Amino acid sequence: MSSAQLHALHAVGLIVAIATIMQGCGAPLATRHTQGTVFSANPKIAVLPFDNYTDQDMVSAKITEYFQVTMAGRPGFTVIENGTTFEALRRLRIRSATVLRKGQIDSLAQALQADYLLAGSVLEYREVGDKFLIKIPQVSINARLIDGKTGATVWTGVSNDSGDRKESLFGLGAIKSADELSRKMVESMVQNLQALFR
Amino acid sequence: MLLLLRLSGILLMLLPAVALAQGAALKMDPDAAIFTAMTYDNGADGSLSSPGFAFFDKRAGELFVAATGNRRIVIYDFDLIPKFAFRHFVRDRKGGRMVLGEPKAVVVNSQGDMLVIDNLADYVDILDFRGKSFQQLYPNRLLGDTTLKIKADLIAIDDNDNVYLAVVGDITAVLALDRDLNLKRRIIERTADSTTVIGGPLAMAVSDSLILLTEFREAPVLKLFDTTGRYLGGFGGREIAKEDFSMAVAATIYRDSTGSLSFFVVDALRQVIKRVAVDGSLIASFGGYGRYPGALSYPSGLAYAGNGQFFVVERVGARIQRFSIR
Repeated sequence: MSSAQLHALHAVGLIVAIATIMQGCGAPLATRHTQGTVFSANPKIAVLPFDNYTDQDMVSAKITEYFQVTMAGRPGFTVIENGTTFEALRRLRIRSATVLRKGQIDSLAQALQADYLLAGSVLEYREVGDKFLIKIPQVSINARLIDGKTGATVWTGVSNDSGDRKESLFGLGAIKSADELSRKMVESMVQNLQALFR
Repeated sequence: MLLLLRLSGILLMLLPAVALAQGAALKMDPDAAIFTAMTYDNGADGSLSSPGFAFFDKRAGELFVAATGNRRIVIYDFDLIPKFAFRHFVRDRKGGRMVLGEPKAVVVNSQGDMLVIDNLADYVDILDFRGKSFQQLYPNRLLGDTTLKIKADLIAIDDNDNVYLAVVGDITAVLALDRDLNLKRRIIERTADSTTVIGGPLAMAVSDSLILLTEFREAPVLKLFDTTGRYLGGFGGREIAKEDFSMAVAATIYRDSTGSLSFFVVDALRQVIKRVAVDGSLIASFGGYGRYPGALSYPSGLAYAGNGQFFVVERVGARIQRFSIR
């Protein structure tokens, strides 16, 4: 092997190594919880329908469903059945959880006998064109946990992620659909949430 | 052709002046109803654009407006503060994918479900209280004939959740549906005799076992039926008399505290709201063209809220006003 070939091989190796190190850098999820809050043991949590700020139909319904499914059956908390939550919201005509008045939180928590309400919104959910991947999904989700007794927000999670974040080279390691990306983001948020109640 | 276009432009510019002159001829009674609230808010930090229809849900005390230009349904409280707004999506006629719609009308049942008619769809879209679509009601499937090319055009609902759906296309008729949206009967169908049935429906209101329909082209302009479709009477011509109408784009049936019945009708080109007695005589008219509170700029929707309060939506004025009947 000539010295030029060796140099080329080293260069490729270096690029692969950098790409591998870079993979996973830049946390897509930022969470914060109120200092000193004592989280109840094994609480009942109602997942409220997420608000949709994207241009696409049904996106928030998908994300809400992912939260419901991901949280159900996990140790640490009990998730109130979706139909029960829907019925209470319908009866109280609460359509959006972005702005919840104290009275609405009280009524809802009481109707559902919920310790916490999980609310949130989908800010971005799209797939943009790319040379190698054809499509790169980009998703942005906000979530917050509201204490049913005090009405205070006790935990927030902001997650922005792109499908090519873990791409090493030529599309390798990339997430190719917004659904898959958002499921992973929700999984990460739920794990973080679960840690509060351990 | 160019000349025709210019002439029609001049005529359009003159319409408000004509309306004002006709308003004067109507002997308007500004005290018949007083202005009490107003909004331009589209519920999403913007202005309303071509709002076309209003429905008041008395159970929840909420006003639903089809903001056609904003492609949204906006829900307000009684004081016209927006509570919720959402874009309405419809299934594309060609590809079947979901695209932004142009909501034309919305009514709400006792469960809080919304029944929406959209300019870009043939079906009635059934949405839950948050605006999530869960059913599409195709009029031709209701009639058991999918070869029929018909479109849902007008919708009204009574206090028992019975739905009345006016369809146009291969047939023009009103379909009476039960609370589960099953077809009860086909009523008020267009036939050769258009004086006692419907020719071209423009607006529909239902209350007290009565259906009030307004006509686009033919006279009488207002036609009253019972809920079985039996013709009870009609009134209002297409001339310039004070009892006549230019374009009756919205109407509501009103029963006052004494129990007497009358109708409020929006006359869009004369820019007035007329209150008409059951015998067709004019009780009062108010509004008149303008942008100031209490005046109207191409009114397009009307919703009665009970207790003498009603809401008027203006397409060109791009606002909603609340009035109190005196």
